[in-house]
Amino acid sequence: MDKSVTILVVDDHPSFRRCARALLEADGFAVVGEAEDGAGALTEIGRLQPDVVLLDVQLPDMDGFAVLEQLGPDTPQVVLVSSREASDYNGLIGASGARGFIAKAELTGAAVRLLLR
Amino acid sequence: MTRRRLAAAVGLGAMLYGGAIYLVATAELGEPRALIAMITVAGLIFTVVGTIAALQRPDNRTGAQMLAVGLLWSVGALQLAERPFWFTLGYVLSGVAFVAFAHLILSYPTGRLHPGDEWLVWIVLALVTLGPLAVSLVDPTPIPGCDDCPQSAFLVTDRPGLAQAVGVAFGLLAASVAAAVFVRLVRRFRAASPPLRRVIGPVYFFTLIALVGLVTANLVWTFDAGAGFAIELAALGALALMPIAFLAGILRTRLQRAGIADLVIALGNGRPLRDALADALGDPSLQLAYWSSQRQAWVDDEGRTLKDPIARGAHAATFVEQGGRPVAALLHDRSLADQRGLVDAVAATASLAFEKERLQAELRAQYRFLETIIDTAPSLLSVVDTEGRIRNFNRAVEVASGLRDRARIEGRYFWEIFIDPVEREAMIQRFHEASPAFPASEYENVFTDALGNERVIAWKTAPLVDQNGDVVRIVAGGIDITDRKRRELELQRQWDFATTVANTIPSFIVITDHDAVVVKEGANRAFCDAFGRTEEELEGTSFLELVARDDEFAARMAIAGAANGVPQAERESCWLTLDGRERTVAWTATPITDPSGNARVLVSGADITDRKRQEAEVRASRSRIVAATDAARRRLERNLHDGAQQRLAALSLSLRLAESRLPAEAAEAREILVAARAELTQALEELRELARGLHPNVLTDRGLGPALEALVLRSPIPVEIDVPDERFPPAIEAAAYYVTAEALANVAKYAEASVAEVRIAEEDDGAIVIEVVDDGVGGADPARGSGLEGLVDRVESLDGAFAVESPAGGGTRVRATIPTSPRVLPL
Repeated sequence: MDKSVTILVVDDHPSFRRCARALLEADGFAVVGEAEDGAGALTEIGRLQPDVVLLDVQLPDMDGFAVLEQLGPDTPQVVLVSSREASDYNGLIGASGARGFIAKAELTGAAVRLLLR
Repeated sequence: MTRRRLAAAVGLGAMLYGGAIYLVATAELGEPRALIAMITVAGLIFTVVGTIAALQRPDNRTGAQMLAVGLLWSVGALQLAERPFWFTLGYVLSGVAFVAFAHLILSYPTGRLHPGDEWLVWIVLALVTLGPLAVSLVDPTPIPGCDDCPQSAFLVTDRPGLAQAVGVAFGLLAASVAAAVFVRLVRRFRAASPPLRRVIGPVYFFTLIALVGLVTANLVWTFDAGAGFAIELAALGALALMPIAFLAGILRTRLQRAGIADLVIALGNGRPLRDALADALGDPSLQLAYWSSQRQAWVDDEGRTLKDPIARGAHAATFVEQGGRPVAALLHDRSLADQRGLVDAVAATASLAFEKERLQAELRAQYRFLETIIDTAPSLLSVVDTEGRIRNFNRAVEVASGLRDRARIEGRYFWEIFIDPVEREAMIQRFHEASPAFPASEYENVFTDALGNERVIAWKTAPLVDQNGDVVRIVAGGIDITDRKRRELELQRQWDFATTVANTIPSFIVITDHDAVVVKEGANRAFCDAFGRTEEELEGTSFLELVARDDEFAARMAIAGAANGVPQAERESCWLTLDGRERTVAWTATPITDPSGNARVLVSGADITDRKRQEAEVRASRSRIVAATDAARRRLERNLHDGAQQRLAALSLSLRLAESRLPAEAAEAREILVAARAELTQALEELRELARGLHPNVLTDRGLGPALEALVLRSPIPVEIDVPDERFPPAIEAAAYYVTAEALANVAKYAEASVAEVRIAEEDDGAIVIEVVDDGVGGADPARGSGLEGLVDRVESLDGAFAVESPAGGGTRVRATIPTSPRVLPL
């Protein structure tokens, strides 16, 4: 079942994308694609239709909240990640529509899975 | 006394003296007959003189009293009767005439008794009646030495000794009374004025001789009838002369009246009026007073005002009138009041002379008045003849010349006194050139007076001409303007000083009138130089034309306020130079009074254009520094985030991945990896804190609201927050964020508060107000290193204001106000 969970990793740092891919795949997720900015994320979401988007808050062109605002009604489940803490974004996360927030250093497949429906 | 009564008295006198003369003529007695004959003669003289006096001066009682004495004296002739009763009655009443005589002499010359003299008259009455009556009761021959006389008809007992004693007793009493009268008369004579003495002197003289004689005779008679008879005869003779003396007085008055002719002659000869009148009236103490209609007062012949009442003391006044108006007054001896006719005649005779004297006195009075004015006037007045000699001058001339002695001025050339030696020749030449017309002129001269003081006199001269039109004198009027000149000089010095100061200082000075129009010489050099206008160009123009349009209304109000006497607080306005450049000037408007006493407005200002520019530059510089600092912090935070944090996060994931890939038996290696990841997590946390302190990224990305909400989430005490959603310029957002962050940090550290409140709002004027309020202990002092002072720089660099209210025990309110359109925005 886990193999069927597809995930798109959106982050502007290649090293994080690489580690995240390895970690998530190790934990059974199917990393179907990667994007390095907000616009790329929106394109890849539309193209790949992943089940989950691992979305970095801090992107070069727009932040993760802006990407969330532009997603349509049939959107994948989004998990926000950031090297900052959730408290740095306070209420923004709750109001964004994302499934949750994971600090980058705490990312694991289990952590993601906990947030999914 | 009326004429009818006088006629009756004269008739009675004729009858009485007819009888008396008959008795004297027919009596056969010896010595008594001679005595009674003398008494009868004396009585007859009194009767005749009294009648004349009563006719001459009906208003004076003296004549009537004298007539009464004469009539009563005739009764004494009864002593020549052969029948004892008539003889005795005549003897007893023979002295009654002395009662009337005592009244006459004590009341002479007015005819009225002095107060206190009545009792003396009553005593005389008692003496002259009771004495003879008593003698007639005890002495059969009351007239001593008259053996042929009938015996006393009133005899009660023949007691010669008693009779003698009674005679002596009454004689002594009579002597006492006579002495009292004597003393009175002597006193009155001594107190009398010379004219009065002339009137009463002869009368008193004969009266006193008669008194002494009668008293002596009365006393002597008792012891020596012959001697007594002789003395009494002599006394009676003196008594008989008394009316003669009185008559002489009346005649003298008549003679004085005759002397009026001499008065007319004396006046015609130019004798002084007062002396001529004093002679005519026989009153050397006479004074004259003249009515000055101009001054409405009595003046003396020198024109000096006399005080009212003009007659006092020994003097009485007789007023001379002409045409119903007073002309003069004769202040004469009161005794002349009795000779009203004489005084009136004299006054009438001299009436023309009085008018002349009155006019002269009035002229003198006017002269004295003018003289007083001239002498007390502060102006110098002098009269110079055509040769330049001073002929007359007033006191001010003495003072100004320094010569306090008239003799040292009179007759000297005026240039010797009023012109300094160096200018003297020129003055003499000018004076002679002006001859003979000496036209009116004005000039000012400086000279050194006799005391060595320099004086300045402003002169005006005018010629005085005679009937031929020739100049005879030159009148010079001068005002000593030494002090005025000195004050003018002093004022000029002060003015020069003030002008020098005003033209030297770098501040602007403009003086305007109430309508803001620049007055003459109303701008200083600094102003003229700075605004490219000359004093002449500025005079008469409106100061407000120099003020930029935006500031003109405020400037107009300031000038108007100062014109109303209210000094105006300093204000800053933009003034325009001639070439249109703007200068920022800090200036005040102050009400002043110029040297001429005109109310003016002093506009005083300093050019602060450069200072203002420098201030703006400093503020902009500060803003740039703050902005640059903010940018650096943001950059650093971004670098941290994008660099180290990302790499460490990736490293953490790599360690986690490595850990998951370790075989189950590599427990030791796993532990190492776990420990390394824990360190890494700690390092990441610390790095996050560092980045957050550098700059909250969410502030840049999401604005104040999200940034502050994140901030308060980390606060250890509950914080209520009210922040608008809109975005503001980054510098303002940064300032608002850091003010709030620092204030909340202080709340956490020091306030011991239970709750805090953050409120950020945009005011109506567009300013952002940041308030952080807590309910803590208060007492915060921004100067005490609470981290707030750095915020002051940050807020002020944005043209904002920063304030802390922190009463002890009353919580703390930090308030920053930042305009959203600051004059200088960071680049």
